[in-house]
Parts: sequence; C-alpha cells; structure tokens
Amino acid sequence: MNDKPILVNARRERIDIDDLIERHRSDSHRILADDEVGLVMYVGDLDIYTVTGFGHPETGDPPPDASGCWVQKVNEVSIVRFGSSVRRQIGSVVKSLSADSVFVIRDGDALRKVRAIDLKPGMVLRTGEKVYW
Amino acid sequence: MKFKNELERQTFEIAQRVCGDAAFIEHNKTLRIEVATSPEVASFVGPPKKEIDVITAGFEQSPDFKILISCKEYGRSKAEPADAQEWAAVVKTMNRYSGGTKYLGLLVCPSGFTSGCEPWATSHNLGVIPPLKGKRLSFPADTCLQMFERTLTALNNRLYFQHDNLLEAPQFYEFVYHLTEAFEGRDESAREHGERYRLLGKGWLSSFSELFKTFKGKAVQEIKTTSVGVYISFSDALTFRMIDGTILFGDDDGKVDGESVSLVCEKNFMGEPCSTDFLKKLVLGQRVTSAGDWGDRFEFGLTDDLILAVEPQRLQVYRTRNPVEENLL
Repeated sequence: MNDKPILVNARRERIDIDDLIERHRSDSHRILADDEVGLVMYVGDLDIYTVTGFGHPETGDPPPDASGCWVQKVNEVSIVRFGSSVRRQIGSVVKSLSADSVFVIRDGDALRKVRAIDLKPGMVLRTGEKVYW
Repeated sequence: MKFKNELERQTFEIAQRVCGDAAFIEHNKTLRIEVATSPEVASFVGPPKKEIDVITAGFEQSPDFKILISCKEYGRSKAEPADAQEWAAVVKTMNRYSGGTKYLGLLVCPSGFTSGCEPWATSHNLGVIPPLKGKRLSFPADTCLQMFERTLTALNNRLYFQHDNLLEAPQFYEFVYHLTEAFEGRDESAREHGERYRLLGKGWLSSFSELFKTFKGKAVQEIKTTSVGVYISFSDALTFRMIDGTILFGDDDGKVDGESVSLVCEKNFMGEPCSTDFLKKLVLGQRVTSAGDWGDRFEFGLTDDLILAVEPQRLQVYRTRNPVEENLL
C-alpha cells in the first residue's frame, strides 16, 4: 500500500515525491512547512502534475494526452506523517488514497466535498468518474 | 496592549513572531460600507458603518500583500455563515480602498464553523481555521494556534514565488485547507498511541507506520543495554531506543545514557535462556523485513526468518521457519 501521490512532470514521466523533495530541499522558501504534522513543498513553478485517473469511466473518452492519464497541475505536494490510507475503486482504477484526501462529488444539481474515507459506492465525482467500492 | 480575549492575544503573538513589525492589531476599527444593502453586508448591524477588531499580518518580501485575521472566541458555539459573510465584506471593503494593497481574509474560531460557512468561505476566498472537514469540525485552541502559525509561516515562504493566483477564489481557502487538514490525523494518533513513538532530535510525535518506514530494509548493527534502556543501532546511522514504555528513533546522535547492564536474553519462542553474545551473533547484520508492536514488547522481523523482540528488561530471538522443532536455535 502506498499513500504517496502519483506525480508526473510535463513530459508525463513519473516523479518520486521523495526525490523531488530532496532535490529542492535546499531552497528553504520552497519548503512551506516541515514539522510534526508533515511536509508541504511549493511546486507551482515546476510543472508538476498529479495523475487523477486513466480514461473516462462513463463516456469512454480517450485521455487528454498520449500517456493515457488524466492529469492535473499541482501547486503544492505534501507528505502527511499521520495520514491513514484507504483503498477505493474510482472509475476503472483501484487506488490507495490518503483517508483525508478530499473529493468533490455530484449531489443532485450541487457539488459536495467528501473525504476519501467517506466515499460510497455509486457516488459520482465532479470529473464524472464513478465510485465502485 | 489590551486584548479582547486569550485567543486574540496568542494569535497576535504568533503573527508578530512570523511577520515581525508587519503584524499589528486594531480594535474598534471603523469601516464604511458603500452599498449597505448588498447581500455580503446583510449581517452588518447598522450599516453603513461597521466597527471591527482585526489583526493585520504583512510580509517583508511582499509589502503590498496582507492578511486580515479575525479571531472568534465563541465558547462551544460554532461560527455561523454570518461571520464568514461579515469578514468577506470587510476584506472586500479594504481591497476597494486599499490603494494597491491586496488583502486576503482569515477567520480563526477554535470551536469550528457550521457547514453553511463553507460556500461563503470558498466563494469569497476566506481561509478558515480549523478547516471544515467531514468528521471533526472543532479542535483544541492550542491545535488551532498551531494551525495558524503553520499557515502564516507557509504563506511567508509562499510569497517568495508568484502568488497572484492566491487572490482568485477559492485558491487561498484551499491553501489554508491544505496546510491545516492533516492536524486531525496527528491528534488522532496522539489519542491512540499517546507518547509511545517520538522522533529523535526534533522530538516530534511519531507513529508505528513511520517507524516501520524508517527501519524497513535497514540492518541491525549493534545492541547496547544500559540502566536507562535498550539502544539498537541500524545501518544508515539510525537508532532505535526503548526507554521504559517510550520508543525513540531516528538519526543516531551516538548518545547512550546510563551504565552498561546485562538484560535477560532468551532464545526460541518458549524463552530459553541464552547469552547476549549468542543473540547478537544471530541478529547483527540482518535486515528488517517486518515489525509489530504489542504495547509492552516491540518485535522486528529480520532476514533469515528471525524475530528480535525488545522489552524494557528483556531481549528475545527466535526463528519462524517451519517446522518449529527442526528450526530451534
């Protein structure tokens, strides 16, 4: 089980978050927090993306890039020292997620935030991906 | 300097610690609202004038960027949407007449916020401490102050980079959320494990999972037993120390307290006596493959199918290879 986020660079190559942090640790301003709770690093200028899914589970639309991933630019990456993990199938992918991570789901005509640990089968994310279990 | 309550005093002291002279407090500051009937100022009493208490935090590297902080000490009651609406109006008014200074709003209310506050906070880009989360909405005041200090310190660093996007809703709300959401996990761990795990050097509270991540794959290099506790050195200059019921671990500073003593050493699962040298000969050089904490006893699973059990007054080694009778030590 792995609670680290899946990160890729602009060329969609996988990045290890520990390597990323070690590479930039000397830039003290970039480390926004490093304490008992965990570490948060600013990466908004580094063209770092997080992988949010593989293909569209409802429409079957092809992924927006050649690597087969839906990606989203991230401003900060973090390592949480006390996070717990949960396993969920979202769309076609089974993921290990931090129990604290927040998802935006469709709730009728509105959008609602729920934590990964509270995701229930049948919920549909804002992005259209369905929660299977 | 007079403060309205303890929360305000401590919040201001933190702001001063992080921002120096660029942090100041104003009581009964009078704001004039241009359009008193707009929805954002519906909660104002007797517009167009409004008296507010505000802590302003500025930043040396970005003098035109300031945070307006409102402390809400409501006892057990949560802050209501009206509080978020009011602060949104204050921030909007300050931005309108700022002469170039950009203001962001932050609300601190240890008793938490009702869920109705979230749409106002996100749409008006207000940071809220503690964060609005699915499970726990209120936190001890100390934790809220730690959240505030973490947020302000992080923002101080963040302003060295391009930061105009923080002014776009809900970027600042999300920024504050991202920095404060993990406190819940830390507090839960403290409740569950107490002071069982501590990181050496920094003294930070830690957890079993962090301990295992630290030692997985590392080789046992030395075991010392003293009148204070058990000291085990691992490769990559790491140390594991059991002192009474507390486990200290992390980078090895080489410190060993107390006088050298011989602890009871046992072999095999049933606990037959053995010498310390016998135990060391088996486990030194072996790498950690698993771990288990039984409260009064910590076990390292090692290569060569060995288990090294550590108790404050006893060490034990046994082999888990089957059949047991043919693999006794």
